[in-house]
Amino acid sequence: MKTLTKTALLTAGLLASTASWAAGTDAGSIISNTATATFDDPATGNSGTTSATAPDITVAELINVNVTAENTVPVEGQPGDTDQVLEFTVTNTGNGTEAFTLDATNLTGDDIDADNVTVYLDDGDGVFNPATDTPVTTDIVLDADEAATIFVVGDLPVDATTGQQADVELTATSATPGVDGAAPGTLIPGQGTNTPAGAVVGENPTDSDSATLQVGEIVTDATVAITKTIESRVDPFGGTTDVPGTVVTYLITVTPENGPVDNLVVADSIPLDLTLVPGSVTIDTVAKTDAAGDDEVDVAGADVTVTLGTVAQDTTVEIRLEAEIN
Amino acid sequence: MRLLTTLLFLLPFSAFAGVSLESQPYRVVVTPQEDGSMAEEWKEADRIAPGDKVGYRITYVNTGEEPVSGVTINNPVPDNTVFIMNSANGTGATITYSVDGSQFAPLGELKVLEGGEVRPAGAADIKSIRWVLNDALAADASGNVEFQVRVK
Repeated sequence: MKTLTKTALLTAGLLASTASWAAGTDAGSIISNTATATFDDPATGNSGTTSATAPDITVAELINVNVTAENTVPVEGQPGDTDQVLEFTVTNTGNGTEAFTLDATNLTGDDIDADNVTVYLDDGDGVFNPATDTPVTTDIVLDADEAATIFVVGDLPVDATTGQQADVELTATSATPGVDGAAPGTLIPGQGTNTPAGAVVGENPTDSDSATLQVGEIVTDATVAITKTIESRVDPFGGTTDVPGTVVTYLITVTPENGPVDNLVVADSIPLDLTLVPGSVTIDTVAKTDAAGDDEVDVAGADVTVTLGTVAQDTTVEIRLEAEIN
Repeated sequence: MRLLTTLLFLLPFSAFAGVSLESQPYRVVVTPQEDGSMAEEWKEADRIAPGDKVGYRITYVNTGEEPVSGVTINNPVPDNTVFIMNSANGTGATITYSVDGSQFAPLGELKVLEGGEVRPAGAADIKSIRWVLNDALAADASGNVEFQVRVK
């Protein structure tokens, strides 16, 4: 085959127009070209026609893929959170059906690594669900122009701290033998999909993109601080000695911390050598009855139950009760 | 007998005047040179993929014994390809283009009606290329014309 060379200065615009061709003509398509000539025969005045058809061109498979991370800002979670989800779109930007190998890795240069990084193929609803989405264990096959939603799922380490980031990269690489590491433009004979013309390595036979998991502001579970002290003693003689007949006033304080709490119940049992003074229980100095059901306080024998319900963060509730030494 | 009749019918024309055409595709590869220019190589048309440039070279020969005049070569732009602007050439030929396959004009004069507005024709609008040889073609004389397309 003869090779003809000609030198031409090409404009930048012409080069730029070659930059991106999505999918394009299907692999295996035939390009036919026919030229027709007409001419006159001056001697006879007749005109003639002839034509020539160039050898058909069968379009080769062009192998290209694009990986795009859909999370453009870090996805936040708490230390120890499992199944943190990063969403990617993998698109076959070539012109033939192609298998791609997917690989998710923790990048270096960030703060932490995500644990148990697993790649899932979405079942079509666009939402990660470990029960219905499938962990990717083999190559995925995409038609030309077809896109797949891929979830890269990992766990945040329990010892991670606020602001730490884990960069996770998803790479899709053509599974056609000979593609990995081959320069763009390389012909791989016999490997084209639906075409005898072979496969040609495109500009992006492999592509990667990364997204970030981040430990958010650490949220601690709400707790309740409780104290119980003896606020005062009054003995039968007007003093403060502990003798039979002395009335002891107990002060119980409860304070929700790190957040509000619901269904807060305080229970107290009067020791055997003391007897609750009937009707002596107060909440924030408001008197309550001992009967069940009419207010927060319910007294059953020596057991005092105070049902406070929802209490706001850092709000201290004071419960007082009096007991007499037997 | 029938064969003979056919031959006789063809004879007057093929014996005294004839033009043969041959069309050959090439894979056009552009590579930068050390001096900053681009070298364009026309290679074997294998492994053509989307985005590639294909060059067609059409060779014409006057196979008759007398000169012919008015040699006109028409070549529709192949399906699945887009004409590459300014890629058509042919020594001693006047080149015109068509956006509908029937009316031909120089590139700068071609207009396209789109969405109620007239605009200049672009590469994607070119449907056919025409070369008209300026001079009569002597017996046994030959030449070629060429153009390039990009595979969609």
